[in-house]
Amino acid sequence: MKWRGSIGSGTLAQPGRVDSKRKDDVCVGVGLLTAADPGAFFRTIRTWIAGMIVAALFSAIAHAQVPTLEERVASIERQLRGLNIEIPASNSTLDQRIALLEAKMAEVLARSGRQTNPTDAGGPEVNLTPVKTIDEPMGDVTMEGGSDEPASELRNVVSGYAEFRYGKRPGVAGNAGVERFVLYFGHRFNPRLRFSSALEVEPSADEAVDDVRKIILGQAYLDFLATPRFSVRAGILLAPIGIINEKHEPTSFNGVNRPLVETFIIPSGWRDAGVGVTGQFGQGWRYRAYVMGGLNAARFAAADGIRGGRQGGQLFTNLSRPAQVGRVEYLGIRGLQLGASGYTSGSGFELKSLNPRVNIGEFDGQYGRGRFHLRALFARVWITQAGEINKTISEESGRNPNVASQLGGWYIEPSWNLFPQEAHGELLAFTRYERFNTQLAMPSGLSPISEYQRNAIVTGITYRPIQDVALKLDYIFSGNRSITGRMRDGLHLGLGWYF
Amino acid sequence: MKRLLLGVLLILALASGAEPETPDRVINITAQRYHFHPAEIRVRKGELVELRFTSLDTDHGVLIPHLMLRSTIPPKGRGVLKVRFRATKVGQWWFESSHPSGANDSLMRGVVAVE
Repeated sequence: MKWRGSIGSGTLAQPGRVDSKRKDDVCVGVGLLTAADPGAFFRTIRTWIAGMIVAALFSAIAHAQVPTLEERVASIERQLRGLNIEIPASNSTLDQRIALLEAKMAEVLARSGRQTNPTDAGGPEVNLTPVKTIDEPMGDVTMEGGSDEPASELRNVVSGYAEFRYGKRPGVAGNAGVERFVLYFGHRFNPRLRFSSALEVEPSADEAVDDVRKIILGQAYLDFLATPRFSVRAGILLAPIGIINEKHEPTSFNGVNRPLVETFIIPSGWRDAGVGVTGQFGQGWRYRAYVMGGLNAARFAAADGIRGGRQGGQLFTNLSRPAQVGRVEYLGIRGLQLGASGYTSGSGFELKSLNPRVNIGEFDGQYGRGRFHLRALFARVWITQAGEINKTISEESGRNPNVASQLGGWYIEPSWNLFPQEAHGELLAFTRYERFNTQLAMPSGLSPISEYQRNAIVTGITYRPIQDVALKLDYIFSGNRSITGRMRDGLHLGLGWYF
Repeated sequence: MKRLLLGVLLILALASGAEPETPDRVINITAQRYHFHPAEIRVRKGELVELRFTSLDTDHGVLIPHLMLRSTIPPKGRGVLKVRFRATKVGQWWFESSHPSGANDSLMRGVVAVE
């Protein structure tokens, strides 16, 4: 059990602890009280009363010797001056003096790049951040049950994840490989300004047109916290649509592959250059609103809808038709997460005399109670001037993309932890039903192709021996309305870890 | 005399094992990718408040800059981080994740409103 506090907080109380070596002594006392001799009994009572008086005297003397908070602060000031640290004369209030001491200590820590424990300065054990701009402490603090983070890890943080998978379809040789290896790097300039980034190596990335582009800058942005409820960010941002696009660590979703709806209807891995605001309001509401690079309709296709139209922000994003995208989340009930996203963008910057607009509406929800979890999502995409897009692309490239005027899909996924709730590991059995159509509605003169009206049942298990490692096994029963182009079923085995 | 000494020792032992001050309020906060719940905490100035952070998934860093405090919430099922503080200044202060738990970790923030 560990307690820490700020310098001179004066609020620390050492938790009580019974020393087992004292057990025999206690038993001696109890034995005297139960003796049969009444005289001995009264002698014992007298002894106890005398003992209490003496103890009270000792206690009073001991308390009288405890320095006051002001004396402790003065002592620390003297000690710091002795270390050639400039401390002004103590003519300000006690709060101001403590704040100054904390700021000085933070400066020293920032310079030395390490932590210190000033218990020898008369105060409780302390845990300071290396940020030196804090000049207004909110209050006094003690802490228990956590673990220290070295100062260097607070300024520069590195983490990441990896996904390894094996897939086998009937009649086709199995294959295995690293799906993704992602490194997150962050830097905290000061308490208000923070940099976040993700560098992804995706050997199988669909953007990977050559070896260089298999290394993708997943995100890279600066986040400026203007107020506790409002921040501004700019850089390469993840589009805030759906569940997976912003939360795709392999340990955080079931199934070896990301949900199909969040691949074909909402193209996860969707990021672009942009600027936006984030924040929270009310009880449990949170929002994000960005202006970012729009979709490129010249790269839309029948099979995977708008997925090919992502610019990605890797090269210079065309911002002549910027997108406006926003998301609102409700997190006010424990275990429940609800989200709604909206997107609108012009997308004709590579098409002559056309400016088709893409609009997206999406709703999702997640609920967890005990060993039961449920997540569901619904999404719909509208593309204006779809007929003209098909005609223009066909004239310019000879390719008939069969772009639809509407795409849509949904999925629902219940899961159940088979292990007892108190177990450290988890064994989740899940089934996800997905239904999606990249040709939900076609422009006049074109008929939808039944191959693109698809559904799938993905069922399997996710075993998490610890929260940051997941071993996954699933089987996909897939289907569509096509007679000739039926999607294939498949067995998948995956290993993902977050570090 | 021996009994007197034993009595004194026993009483001093009990006195030195006094419980820490009972907090005026205990607030349970869960952490999971990428939010705290509740994300807004309202306390009164001078109140002794104990925040009990529990993770529902991986370990999460906690940074409360204006308490000059940082620590790590253990992963799910591995313990509770308890932070006890007495707010001495009225205002709105933030707390946030101090090490990334994933792609959108920078959204993981909360507010302590001292009234």
